[in-house]
Amino acid sequence: MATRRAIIGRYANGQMGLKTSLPGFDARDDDDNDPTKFSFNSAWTDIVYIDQYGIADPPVSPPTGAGWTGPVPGALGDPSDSIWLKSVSHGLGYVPYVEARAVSPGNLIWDDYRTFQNGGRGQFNGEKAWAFSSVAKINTWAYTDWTGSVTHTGHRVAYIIYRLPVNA
Amino acid sequence: MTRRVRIGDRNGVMGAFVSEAGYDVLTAGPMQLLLNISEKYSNLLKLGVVGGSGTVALGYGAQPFVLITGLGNFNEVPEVAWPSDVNGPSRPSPNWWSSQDAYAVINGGGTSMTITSPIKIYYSVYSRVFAS
Repeated sequence: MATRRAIIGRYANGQMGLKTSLPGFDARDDDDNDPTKFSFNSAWTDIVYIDQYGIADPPVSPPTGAGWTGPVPGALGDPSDSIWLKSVSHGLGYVPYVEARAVSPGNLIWDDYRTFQNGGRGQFNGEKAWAFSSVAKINTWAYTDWTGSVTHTGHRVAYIIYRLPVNA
Repeated sequence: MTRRVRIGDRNGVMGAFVSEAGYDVLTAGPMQLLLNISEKYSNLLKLGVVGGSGTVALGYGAQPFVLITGLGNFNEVPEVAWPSDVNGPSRPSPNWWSSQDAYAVINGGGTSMTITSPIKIYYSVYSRVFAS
């Protein structure tokens, strides 16, 4: 008999689910906890599901001038409604893991940290997102100068919210 | 009639698949699948490492979401007493003492991805369209 590659329904042990095996392995009889033998098992508890993807844009008319008019870097628990923070509701009921990266128009995605445009060091491009139990705040603000004396700029941010609770 | 759901074999890959309206589940590209449960890390199309700058072939018909994270080059800060076996993704990334930025450019609407980085980069490519 040909190798069985997919099973959906009640298994011999009484459990219900969906399993699909990799080539050469039987979906009913082989070890379904072995990811080298199975491509999917609905009983797996460590599958990383994506809740949302999205793009957050900076304010159309960003504030200008000196001083801190954006969220404070390092304020990990800052739920403030800064103009730079874009709220994304998720409704997951827990604090999820969120990844976010600044993007330039078109097709360029940055890693966390960038050098200053004026040749200095360390534009703080990190902390692009804060996650809370019902909402994620996407940070579209970026420094351009250590002194804070230049126009504050914003950038587009791509984000992914995972169905993955982050324990305190 | 367009087939929208397949549980089982989809072009040699076993899993559960649902296509977007207007697309046949057997012929739809990865970006036209609403549901793609075929492996442990669902929605993740490609995962890999590039040793610094390089181009990665994608072969997709649309521009996907991509995340990159640098692997810390701790040798650049000898003043710090790092453990001898220190290694792994670092945050911020690239490290704040690096003199170069790191970024990925999606080419040809999803054909390939060019990564520019002073350090080794982990990349993950997801099955969602990244709108410009």
